[in-house]
Amino acid sequence: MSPSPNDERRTALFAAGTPLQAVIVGTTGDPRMTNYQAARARAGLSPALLLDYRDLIADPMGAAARIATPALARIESPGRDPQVLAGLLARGIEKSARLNLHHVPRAEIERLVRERGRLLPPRQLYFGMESVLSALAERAHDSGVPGDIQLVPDVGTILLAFDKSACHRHLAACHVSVPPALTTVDSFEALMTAMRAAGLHRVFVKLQHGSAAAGAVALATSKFGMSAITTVEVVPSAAGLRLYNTRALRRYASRADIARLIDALAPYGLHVEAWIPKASVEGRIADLRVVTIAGEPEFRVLRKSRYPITNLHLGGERAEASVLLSRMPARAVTALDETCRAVARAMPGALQLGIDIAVATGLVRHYVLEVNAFGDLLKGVTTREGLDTYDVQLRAMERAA
Amino acid sequence: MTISDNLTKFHGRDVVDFESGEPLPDPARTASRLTITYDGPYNEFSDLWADFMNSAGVEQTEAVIIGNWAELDGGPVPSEQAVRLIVSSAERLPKLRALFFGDITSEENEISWIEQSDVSAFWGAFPNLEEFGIRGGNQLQLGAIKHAKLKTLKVESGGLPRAVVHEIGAAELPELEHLEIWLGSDSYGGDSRPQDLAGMLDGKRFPKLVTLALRDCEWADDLAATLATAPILDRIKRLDISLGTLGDAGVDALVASPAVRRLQHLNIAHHYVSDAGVAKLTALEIDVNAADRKEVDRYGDEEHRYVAVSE
Repeated sequence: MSPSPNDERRTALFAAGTPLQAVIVGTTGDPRMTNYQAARARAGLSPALLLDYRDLIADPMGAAARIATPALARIESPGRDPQVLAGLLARGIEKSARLNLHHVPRAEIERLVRERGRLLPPRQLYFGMESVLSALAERAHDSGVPGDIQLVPDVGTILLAFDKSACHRHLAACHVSVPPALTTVDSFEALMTAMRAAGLHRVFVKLQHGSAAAGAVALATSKFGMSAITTVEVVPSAAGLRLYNTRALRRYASRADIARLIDALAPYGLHVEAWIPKASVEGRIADLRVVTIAGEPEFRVLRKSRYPITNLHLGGERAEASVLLSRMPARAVTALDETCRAVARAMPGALQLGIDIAVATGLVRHYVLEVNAFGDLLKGVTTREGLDTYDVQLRAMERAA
Repeated sequence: MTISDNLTKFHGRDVVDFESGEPLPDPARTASRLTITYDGPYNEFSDLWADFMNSAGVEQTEAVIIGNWAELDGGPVPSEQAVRLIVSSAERLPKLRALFFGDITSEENEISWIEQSDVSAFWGAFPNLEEFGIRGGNQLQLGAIKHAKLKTLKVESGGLPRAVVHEIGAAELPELEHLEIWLGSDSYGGDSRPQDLAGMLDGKRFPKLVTLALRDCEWADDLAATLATAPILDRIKRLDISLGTLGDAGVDALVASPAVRRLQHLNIAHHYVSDAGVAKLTALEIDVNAADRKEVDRYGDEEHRYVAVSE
């Protein structure tokens, strides 16, 4: 599924004539829900009706049918609730099995989600999301008048953002600056061959459907050896290798260890890109998270780390984006903003997007590393007027209505 | 830890990236950095250097930083050709007082993978040099170091070959005030041992030395014991053995040394010293930096301590 590549969709998104029922699809207790409802309260709006992922998982069509028309349904991340994750994994079995892809059988799911730090098979989760969100898409489609139920973001956009390879291809086709990618890497040996063929010595290996740097490996090779910095811990067990997400980044330096790591990740589906050497500020490697709202870059946050993987839960620190932007030539900052707008144009079914961008050493070139459909949870970040990402989204919708 | 930032200050100046077509910034206040960036305007260092050399006012340049001398995607390239180019342009840089060669971050290349070469031609080519810094120990040769004006010498590496340590120990640098060496890990070519420091420590060289920094040392307790009785210690005011593996044994050697007690400053940041050990140091009437304590890794009976910068 791909997003409708025209502006009609965007117009439909905001052109609300009759009062819309506000719905939020999410998981009770998740901070995203609380934050959004709080923003609604600040704006003098009644709370949005909650459609819980638990209900959607249990009975997708039945739950979707509860959305009365006309409605505007904001789709949120399912969050990290083990029950929800287990439900999504279970919903992802059927398609995984049909496509003969690696997956975790039903009997093992419960134990997997309860085990602290265990890497959950991201493609299976993705298929689960696809399965339950499709019910919403179908409900929106069947609701009668087109646009009577508007999903924000639309399901195609969510699925596109969660498939790093598809998203990379789509953005590249839309002339957005992305790192060069390697295709069809399904083993360590295939990776080495592809790197040699492309003349790449440094790559980022990611899980194609992974989120929050789960399963990410920053791999560097040279005639002196190899180095892999990763969020993954490989633990041998009687049943084979087990993979865990670790908050203390690991470094593997032997070819054998790295081969084992990549081969253990490969069945989950890999997306491999050139490792863009990121600019540094204040003694740290840095990249940017830009949140666009209604097509405009509205929030910019810098993430700094000692390591190439900068995610905040992995020891990255947040900083003012101006620390980096002020060192860049003005034309490079303008170009970066333009790229954010181009990403938003390429994914018109979203109201907001969290775009991760690397500014390369030299402070001129930039590359879109990831686009997050649920990328607007920026704890404690506000505009000068004190508005958070949710406030700005509500205002954008008000303006458009 | 790895090298995660480029130099922003050098020789008391702000660092400004050289851009072709832009006027060179004020040479008294800025240092120009020349580096091949990812997907940037230059693929060849020779083109970048030629454009710099053809810039109006280049002969006024006082401080230069060299970053990457080769395309980042192309794998390691020895620094030889870049050294040759720079040396061959020496007469166009008569005022050069400061040169850093290899300002490369871990995002671009691991410090232990930087391929250096014989850089000894710099000494004769730039007689007005006061500061020289270099990063990367692979294939590095400093040669016979002889320079009448050099005040600061820094050699950063993840593992410095013993031969380079010997070259520094034999250097003729009558004006040297600041000597900084990152000894690094044996796993990355840092094969020196305490006895290799003899030339540096016997007090026969570096009559004006103020700061001695022997950083990132894998045998920091032995280093401390060696330093405790080293003649050079009577001369210096600042001792820096940070980024290494210093433990309580090394601290005991240091506190027993009268020369250590006469220092102004002692830096052991990134260390494995106990609270009691740190207390022994802070009890000395000198300024001590004991930040960033590390915990020993234990596997069964084995204990492991790591230097801050290796790979």
